[in-house]
Amino acid sequence: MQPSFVGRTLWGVGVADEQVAEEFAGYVASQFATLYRTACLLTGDQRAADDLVQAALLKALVNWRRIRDADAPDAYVRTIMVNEHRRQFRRRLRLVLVREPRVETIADPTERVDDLDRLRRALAELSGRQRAAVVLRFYEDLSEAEVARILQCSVGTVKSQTSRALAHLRRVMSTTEGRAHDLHR
Amino acid sequence: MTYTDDRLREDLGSLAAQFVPPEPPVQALLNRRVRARRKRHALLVAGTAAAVAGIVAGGIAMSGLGGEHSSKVTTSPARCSTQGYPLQPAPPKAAGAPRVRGSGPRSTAAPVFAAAADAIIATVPRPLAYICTTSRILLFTDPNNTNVRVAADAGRLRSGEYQRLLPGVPGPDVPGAMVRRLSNGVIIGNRTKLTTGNARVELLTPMYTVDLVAGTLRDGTTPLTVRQLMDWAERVYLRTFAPAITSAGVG
Repeated sequence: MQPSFVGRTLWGVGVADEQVAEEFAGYVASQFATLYRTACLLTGDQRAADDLVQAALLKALVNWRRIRDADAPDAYVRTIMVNEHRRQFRRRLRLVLVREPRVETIADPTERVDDLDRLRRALAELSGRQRAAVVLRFYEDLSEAEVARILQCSVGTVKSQTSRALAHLRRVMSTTEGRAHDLHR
Repeated sequence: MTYTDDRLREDLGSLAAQFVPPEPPVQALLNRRVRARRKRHALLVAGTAAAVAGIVAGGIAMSGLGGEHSSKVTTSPARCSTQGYPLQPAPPKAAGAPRVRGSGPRSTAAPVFAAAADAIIATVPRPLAYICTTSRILLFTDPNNTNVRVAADAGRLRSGEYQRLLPGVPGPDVPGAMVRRLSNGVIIGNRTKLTTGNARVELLTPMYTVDLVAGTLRDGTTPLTVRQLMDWAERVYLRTFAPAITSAGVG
């Protein structure tokens, strides 16, 4: 049974949803890949990213009328996603008792693969906020002010979180130290 | 070698490019939106004892959806379907009379049980009555009834999901992808048919998010008692969802 969105009564409020559904479908079609990849970087896991994007989009959909009228719907959706990630991250801290085993890598001729793997693991070691700051700042290429708005903190906090995160990433990713970091796990 | 900002940008881009996005789940999202709004009081119940647990956990604000041996109490009869046990409409409420807990429509299979449930609800800490007032569904199954091998027999629980949710609790180890993500909600696919013993549960709405599946597993183990369900609800579910539930003023 395919649902019809026209004339449904939701929570007692009549809603003609067809237009909203079409707009939303268009938005998802155009932005899903970007959001998904951002979510992958935030979570470090494709399945978790799938959950995260869906949860964020579902929330966005419920408030789509408001979001589409906002100046920057992308920022709005990203904010939802980052907040959702932080919420899930906090929850996961409570629920997951056993850390996943780390897969160690050794240096090989395909250094690029090795580097990216090291970066992935280094990102996973950052706090949720630090990771979000780095991803938004350096992958999404947002300004510090935009990142601050999404993370709902001050620009100064974004700077400090980014700085700490970068220090960690640089330590891990600098070739010699990074490999030593791997070997000492 | 210094790891520069530009190098980080490049590496993040390369790393992100390794993740191949799936097809945008537009229709699924739209379907879930409808269900999330329409079925905020949702609880999937299978089995009598499980329904007691469900009522204990979910109070009166739940919908029942299940097969034979699935006593249900519901506030949403239009969305429910049972085999052989049609729902009875609620008796008309006199004008001005307060709504009585347990007075909503219910399955014909449930009268005794509803009375018991009313008694149980009176003894349960109030917050527990809020559990199923989110958009999610708790799937409770009956530890003493074969009808309740729903999730296990559906064959789609991912290995390890139980353990992730409840460390130390044995769970089914059945590969598949139709039911998944138990730790933060199990998605059951469109019109999934859950065949169990002599009963069949057919989910009517496109996607359900189930937060907990409990019952007798295929190997005969019983992972959760009613008390454990309640403990779980109090320990995990409420801490996670209670703020949002309270602010929503549902109950």
